[in-house]
Parts: sequence; structure tokens; C-alpha cells
Amino acid sequence: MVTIDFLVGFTIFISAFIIVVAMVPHPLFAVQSARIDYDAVAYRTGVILVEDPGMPTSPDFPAWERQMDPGDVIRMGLAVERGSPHILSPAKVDRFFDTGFFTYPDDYQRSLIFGDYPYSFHITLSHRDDRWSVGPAPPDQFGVVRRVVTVKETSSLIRDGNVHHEFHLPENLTGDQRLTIGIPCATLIDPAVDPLFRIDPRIDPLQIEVRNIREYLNVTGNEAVVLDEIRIARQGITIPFAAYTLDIDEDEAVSLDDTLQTSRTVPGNLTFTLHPVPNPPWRQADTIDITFIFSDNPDGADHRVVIYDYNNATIPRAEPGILEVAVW
Amino acid sequence: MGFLISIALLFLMLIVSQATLVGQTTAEGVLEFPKHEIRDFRSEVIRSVHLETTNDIREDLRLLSLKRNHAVVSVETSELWVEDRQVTMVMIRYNNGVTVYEETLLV
Amino acid sequence: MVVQDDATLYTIEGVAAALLMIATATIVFQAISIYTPGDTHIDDMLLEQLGADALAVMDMPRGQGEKTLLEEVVQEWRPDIFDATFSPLLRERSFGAEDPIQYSAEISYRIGDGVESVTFSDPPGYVATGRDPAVRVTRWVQIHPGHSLPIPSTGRSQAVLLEVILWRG
Repeated sequence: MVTIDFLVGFTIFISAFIIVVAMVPHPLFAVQSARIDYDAVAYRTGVILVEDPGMPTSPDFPAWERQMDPGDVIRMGLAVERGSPHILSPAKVDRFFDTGFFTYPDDYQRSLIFGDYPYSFHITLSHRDDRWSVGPAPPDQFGVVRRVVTVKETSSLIRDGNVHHEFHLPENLTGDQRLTIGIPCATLIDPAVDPLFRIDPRIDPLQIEVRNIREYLNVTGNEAVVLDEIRIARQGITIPFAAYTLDIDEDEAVSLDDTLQTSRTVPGNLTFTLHPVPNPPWRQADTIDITFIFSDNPDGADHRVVIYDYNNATIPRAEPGILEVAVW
Repeated sequence: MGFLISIALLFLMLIVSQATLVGQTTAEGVLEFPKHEIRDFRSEVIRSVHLETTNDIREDLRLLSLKRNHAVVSVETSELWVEDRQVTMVMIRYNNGVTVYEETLLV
Repeated sequence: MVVQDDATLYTIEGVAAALLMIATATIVFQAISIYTPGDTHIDDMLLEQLGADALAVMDMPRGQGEKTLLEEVVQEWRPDIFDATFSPLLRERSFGAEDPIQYSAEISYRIGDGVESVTFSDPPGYVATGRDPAVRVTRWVQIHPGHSLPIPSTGRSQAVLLEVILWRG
């Protein structure tokens, strides 16, 4: 005979037992198997590098390559922007393979490989004749993924004294000149332009080259061309901005985060590179003006403006490259 | 009591039989996601929206997707006025049996 | 005796309870583990992704507002340029020797209500045994009137599908 107290006792026992048995898998959860998924981790790392622009801690801008502290980078990705996979940004590539800044393997494991298991890895990028790599050579058994990518080139505006004659006016025979390069962000940041050829002053370096400066500025005789000042203005108002480099005749005259303190003689060529910064002062509708003053009397000098837009600036053709990620 | 227990066992059996299938289809949906196909198709649609022969191109895309890629696609466009510009709203639908993808964009 | 009946009942109870506990535990454990198809398809997926990557990078514009390499190669029917560009992208490897990937490309186009295809590039030097597992990658290409493809001319811009079959030879 089945009695009611038997049923009640039995039901309580069975329910308690089922609850206990259901809790058993939780301690088993920490048991991992790491060796089977080298290929999967390599694939995921490849996707993050090639298709993700990365993220710094202050996500105003996905320009993690300009952060001062490696701990400020949450995720490293090499893509130029969110919707353009396979197009890599050269600044990010340089920063990623800079082992003086990021330490192998900690920084990379924290912001690229992810996960608790300490995977070792070797990442190589070959593009044109350059080969960048980080990490030791892999052992016999490793998971590898290969991605085909293309690296965006740096845009540049070239003014050649033998070709461009803006300063050639009959009364203009002195070295007192002012050259202003106007950079209209609203024209440059145009979503209709393909991301491979789009110039964004907030995240891309801009290069201005003046060649044969004596012919360009229409300077004759023995007068020397002296660069006195470089003024950087936003919407017409001069601001202190130091993230640029200046090369005079292939020698570095002013390095990054420095400014032009003294006047420099320019014998032949001038190359100016404006670098992007983590929190750029330019908004999308601003116009940046970079004025090179070749005179101690700027107000009396002859002034010409050249616009850095898609008609004047050029971007070289991009070449494909191969990115390989090996994980073990 | 035996009746109750057998009903409980039946319920547990149903859960077990579903578990295998859930794992299989979830993993398959991730492994077989046609990422490149969808990206390529999307960029092709954007490239062809402003051409004159866009209807013929859309028929090309539809038939070739069906016969060669085994995917059913549908592209619909409509004109809109945003502020003072005319933009085209494009709706892309893609279904290859395992993945269903739908997107609306303004070109 | 009454005592014997009770004892039998208790024994049966004990056995039934034990079987029930074991059956429940077994069923619960089986219901938790989810079966995932392991890495049987990873190699194929990596090969497919490599081919799709290579085609995507070849399909990028060569200059602002210009055509892409793939469009030019198809429009002018130059399988030799396609081979010269596509092959190194697939094969070059940093660790070890070149990856022995072979491929065969064809172009499918729409004609009326049907679909036909024509071989684009079939590099010689390998006899397919029929036992090599292959993957298929595709890329849409736009061709314009005045093309050199060996297909009937329609006098309008049309979209054709470039299909490449890859295998490790």
C-alpha cells in the first residue's frame, strides 16, 4: 500500500536530489581545453585586426594609435574605419608593430587576443617590400590564418617651383612671402569618396611638400629663403598646435610635438606633415589653415592660398599586402 | 505515482531531444554565415542604384543569386526628400536558407 | 507475514528510488551538453575566407572615381592579368613553402530568363583527381557596353558573377 507520507517524503527527496545534481556542472565549467582551438583564436584575431578600427578608452575617436599610454587602448584593430574592412591605416600599422611601445605579450594579449589562456602568437604583415612582425617564430604545431589586406597611402599636396607659379607676379621678386594651405574639413570628409582615398584630417596625416622653393617663391639673386614662422589656425583663429614634423631638404628640422622656435633657411625643399592627435581640435565643418611665413613682416608679405582638396592633393595607388597570424 | 513519474520522464526526454538540435543549428548558423557574400552584394547594390539600367541589373542580381548562389534576394528602392536633397532608400533582403539578412540604407 | 510484506515493499521502494535518481541524473547531464560540430569545417572556412579576401582586395578602386582592377580585367577579358595578381595573393606564405592552392574561375551571366556561364581562367598544370575538397568564392562585377567578354552583347550595363573554385593541390 502506498501511503501518503511515503509519497510526500519521496517527492521531497527526489526534488532535492535533482536540484543537487543540476548544480554539479558548475564546478566543471572552469575546466577548459585550449589546444583544439588555435585556428579559431587565430581566425578571431585576424578578424579583429583586419575588420575592426579598434577602440581607445576615451572613444571620442577610434584613433588609438595616438594614445600616450598603452593601457589606454581597449582593443587594437588596424582598419581605417568601421565600415571598411581590408583597408588598413598606416598610422595604426606603425603603432601596432612598435614593440618599444607595446610589450609582447602582455599588451597584445590584453587588447587583441583576449581570454584567460596565455596564447603565444606571431603576427606578420608584408606590404610592398616592407615586412613588419611581432612575436617569436612559431613551433611545429600552430594555428594560422592569412588575410589579404591593402594599406591606405598618405595623401600629399605638392607644390613644385617648376610647375606651379602662384607667386610669380612681376612686382614680386623678394623672399617676403606667405603661403597658406587651407584644409576644408567639410569638403574632405565626404562619405561619397571611397574610404581608400578619403582624406580625414582628424585621423590621417597630411603632407605638404614644396619643392624648388626658390623658383616657387620667385626668389632670384643671392637672397635666401628663410622660414620664420608656422601658424596653424582653426576657422581663422590661430591656435597652439604642436603635432607636426618639418623636414628641410630631407633633414628633420622640427620633430613631432615641437614647434618652430627659430628661423630656418630653406635651400631647396620643404616637407611638412601634420599628424592626427587623440582629441583633435577640428570639427567636421572647420577649415584648418597652415601658414608658412617667409618674412619677418607678415603683414607686408605677398599672400597666396592653396586649398588642400581632392583636386590638388593626391593619394598614391594602394597595393595589397598579406597579414598572417599564427597562434600556439 | 508511476503515471506522474512517467510524465516527468517524458518531459525530460523532450528537453534532451531538443538539445542536440539546438547545438547543431546554432553552431551551423555561426560557421556558415555568408559574411563576404552579403558584403559584396550590398556594395554591388549601392554601386548600381544610380545607374539608368538599374532594373535590369536588379534582375541580373536576383536571377544569378538564385541560380548560382542558392539565395533569394530582393532589392527595393524608393525616393525620399531629406532636407533639400533627394536620397534613395534601398531595402535589401537576403535569404540563403540558413541566414536571413535585411537592411535598409539611404544612398 | 506482514513484516515480510513491508520489507518487500521497502526493498522495492529503495530500488525504484535508486533507479529514478540515476535515470534523472543521467538525463540531466545529457541535456546540458550541447553538441557542436567541431573543427571539421575550419580548414574549408579558412580557405574560403582567403579567396574571398583576395577577391575583395582586387575589387577596390585604383583611384578616386576609377574602376577596380577586377572590373578592368573582366571588361577587357584579361585572364592573364587576373592570374598574375590573384595567384600570389593566395600562395605567398611567411612560414614555410608556398601554399599549393589551385583555382579555376568562370563568369556567369544572365541571358533572358536563364543563366549561362563561360570559363574565365583555368590555369593548367594540375589534373583534378575529383577527390580534392574545394570551396567556392564569388564576386559581383559590373560590365558596361563595349566589353570584350565572349557573351552576347546586351547594349546595357549588367552585373555578372565571377565564381572561383579553390582547392589545395
